[in-house]
Amino acid sequence: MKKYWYLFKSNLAASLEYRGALFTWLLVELVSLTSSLFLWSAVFRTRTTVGSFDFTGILTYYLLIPIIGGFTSIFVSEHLPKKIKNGDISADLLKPYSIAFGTLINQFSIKLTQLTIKLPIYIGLGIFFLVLFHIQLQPHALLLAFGICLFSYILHFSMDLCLSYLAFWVDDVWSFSLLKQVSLMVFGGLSFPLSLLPEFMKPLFWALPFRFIYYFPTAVAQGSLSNQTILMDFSVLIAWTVGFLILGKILWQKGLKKYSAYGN
Amino acid sequence: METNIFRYIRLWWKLAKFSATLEMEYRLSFLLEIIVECAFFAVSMVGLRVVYWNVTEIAGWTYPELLMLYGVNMVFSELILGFAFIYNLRDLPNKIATGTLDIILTKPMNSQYAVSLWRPYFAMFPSLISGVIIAIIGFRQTGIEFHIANIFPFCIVFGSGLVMAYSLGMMISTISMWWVNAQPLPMLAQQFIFLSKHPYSVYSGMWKILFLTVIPVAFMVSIPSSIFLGNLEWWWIPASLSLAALFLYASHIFWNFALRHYSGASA
Repeated sequence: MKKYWYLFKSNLAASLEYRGALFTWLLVELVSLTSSLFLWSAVFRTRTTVGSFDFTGILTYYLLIPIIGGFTSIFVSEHLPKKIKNGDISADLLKPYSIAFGTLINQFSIKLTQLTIKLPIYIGLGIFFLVLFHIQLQPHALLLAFGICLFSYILHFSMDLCLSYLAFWVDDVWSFSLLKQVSLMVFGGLSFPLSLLPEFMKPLFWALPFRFIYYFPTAVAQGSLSNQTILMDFSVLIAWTVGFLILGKILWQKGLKKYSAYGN
Repeated sequence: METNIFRYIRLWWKLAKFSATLEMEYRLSFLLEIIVECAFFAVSMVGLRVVYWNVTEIAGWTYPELLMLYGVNMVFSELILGFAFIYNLRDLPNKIATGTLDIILTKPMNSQYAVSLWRPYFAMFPSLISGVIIAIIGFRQTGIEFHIANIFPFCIVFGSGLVMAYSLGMMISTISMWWVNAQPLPMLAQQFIFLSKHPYSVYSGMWKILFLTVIPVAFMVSIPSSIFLGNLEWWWIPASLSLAALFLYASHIFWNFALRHYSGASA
């Protein structure tokens, strides 16, 4: 376990080097968030409710989404496929640790740096809006959502790992990674709360794993789901995670058999 | 001056042909890029539809009107991303950090042109055509009569909006001269430009002034769409032309100012 601790420390130091870039990414997120809030505040100019949401409900949703995303977002498929394509994993294969676990540690250290920069700003914003609009959030719901975020993170990681392993067979994993981002926007609840969907569209959205990355933890934090629904959805989340972990293992083993590199 | 402009057009055409050959070389990648582009806008459309399943209008815009605006926005975004951002401005921080900019500066051409309009992204075309189709469908659904006379003011304001977006993107990306690892800066510029996807009437109070002058997103998509919907106000034309000229000049001045602070990393 000591080797993973050293790996974590060196990755943390590397990610801290680029605090400026992380801060700019935060600005990108904030501009996007502001854009959504402008649209919804215009919607609520002429009405008090949309679906099951009032303005504070929508505001809370869009404030929670980047916080939840701060915990559950993953960017493995933006880096690992390049390493596979360039043959850079050859060096990693010789090292005495699992590449999947090493990648998880690497992502975890980046996440810690991101959260150090992001969380204080979002919590500050959250408190400002909580006071301004008298928004009420239940502490136990927030705690539960935080716990679920850890599982959503593992699900997203295993999903992204499977996507990255496609680089053993496909030249351009970048497009698949972008497709995943696009899917998260619509099926994950990044663009709009999934509860606003009409009934006939819900089965499709509910059958896919994307809602567990953003929508599910956010809905739990807002206290809009019953205990029974949370339990049922949590079981499905675990099932998806196990499924992707198994798939990842198979893809890795088959991919390694196909892998060849020179000059490393 | 005229010869100069034609020289750059000729140069761009040659580079575009070269870029097309490069992209076509990897056909599967090209196809995937097209799928991603289409998926991205399909997502935006779903988002829009979901909102309109729950409301009848947003800031005075009905669904067909907003559909038309989204179509215009698709065309606008694809043009600005495809020509200036994807292969050019997004790579500027990297060129500065690695010193590749040194080589560009030695070329006998305008360096701002070389870093911002060098290589177009051809996978934008299917989305661009989809945008035109969506705008036409939206417009037809509004039931408003089409006036051919609206095309001319539309083109002026829309073109000016493109120049403003390009200049804004150029200025924000230029900040990377002072910043190590500034890869997110062009993305920040894009995010500001993406604010244009909403109708201008969505903004209120001081935001209205801000988005009309400092970050003139109003002139990029919303005002051109309003022209087609028959709400042309004549001051829009001189205002958009003046702002476009001002922003382009400012981007040129800022780029040259930034170049004086550049020290190569490769030589």
